[in-house]
Amino acid sequence: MKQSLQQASQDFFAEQQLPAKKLQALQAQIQAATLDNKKQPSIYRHNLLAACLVFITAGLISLWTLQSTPNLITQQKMVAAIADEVAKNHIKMKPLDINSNDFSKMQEYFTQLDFLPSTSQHFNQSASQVADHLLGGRYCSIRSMTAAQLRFGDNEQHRTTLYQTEYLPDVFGELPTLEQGQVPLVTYAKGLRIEIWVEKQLLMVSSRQELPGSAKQTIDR
Amino acid sequence: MLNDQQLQRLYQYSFSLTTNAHDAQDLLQTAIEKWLRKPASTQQSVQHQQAYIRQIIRNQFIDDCRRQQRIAFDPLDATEPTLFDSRSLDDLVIDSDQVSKLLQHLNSAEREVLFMWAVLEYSAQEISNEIDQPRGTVLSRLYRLKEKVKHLNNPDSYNASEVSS
Repeated sequence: MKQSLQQASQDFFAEQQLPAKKLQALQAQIQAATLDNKKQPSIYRHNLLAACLVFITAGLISLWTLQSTPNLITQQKMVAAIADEVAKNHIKMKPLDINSNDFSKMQEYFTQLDFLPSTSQHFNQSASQVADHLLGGRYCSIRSMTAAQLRFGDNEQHRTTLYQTEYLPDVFGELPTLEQGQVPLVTYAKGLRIEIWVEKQLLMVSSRQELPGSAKQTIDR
Repeated sequence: MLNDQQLQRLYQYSFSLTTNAHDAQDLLQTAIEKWLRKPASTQQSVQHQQAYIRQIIRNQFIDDCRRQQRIAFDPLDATEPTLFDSRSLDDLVIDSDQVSKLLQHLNSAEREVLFMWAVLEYSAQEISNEIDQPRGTVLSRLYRLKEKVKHLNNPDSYNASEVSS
């Protein structure tokens, strides 16, 4: 009888059971260990508590004095990694999966994403000379997260790519969010100007050849 | 602490790695002993206790394989094909009596992701977080799993060069 792989697997693994005697032995072992832990002398627990308080206090002081530095280093590394990956994809210019200048057709095409590709207010303003020249899109990834690559341009020399993926702070760290009035990060990778921001809860990254006259927040690499 | 259901689930995870009841029992026993030797505060306070113990099981499995000079988790080629996400497996079907045969064709890494996807109902990202591997690696393993299921369902269409353990 055919079942979904998931259901068949669940049923199979559910049949794999520890024999009752083994289960009882393990439970007995756990119970015994729990009782032993509870019998530890109270003085030991008090000393341990005191040591923990000293450690926590020292940690908080260190954190307060060095608050921004470690987070900034980690975030700089993440931004650099995103920029490198996006620049590499931009330079490769792999064939598009879909050729279209109709954004709604693009949205219909990307059915394998966990999000809906969206127009970007920032991109439309900052890349206004190409934003109306949508060429098409392809699937790609950013830091192993499935993403959409949208390509814009009116000629070979002025291609701009816009990458979108779901913004997960745990994966990408804190990045500037347009809806909170923050400005995109600007950095450079492989000769390209990279902008990184969060908009509509999507991580958006644009890459293009340097254009004069843009003044945005920059990050030193 | 741990109830019977939680212990059985940990045993099933051990079985997914070893595919042998005896080895799985030993693996679980050793892992529980290691867990019990941790300070009591660690045992109680770890937010995701089951995930923590699975990590101990996993590390123990790797140690055991190393001792037996076996590879615990086969590395993947950088050019391996991947699924776009774990939902691509939702439509796969299999004869219920074929799962055992399927496990024989999977390596330990593939069995592990099958268990986490099917039994724990994790997404690719959640699996990636737990086993500390890139999401792309997880999706590659799921792709191989999918191909092997397709092969089981239709052996005549199997291309020997496509998938290997």
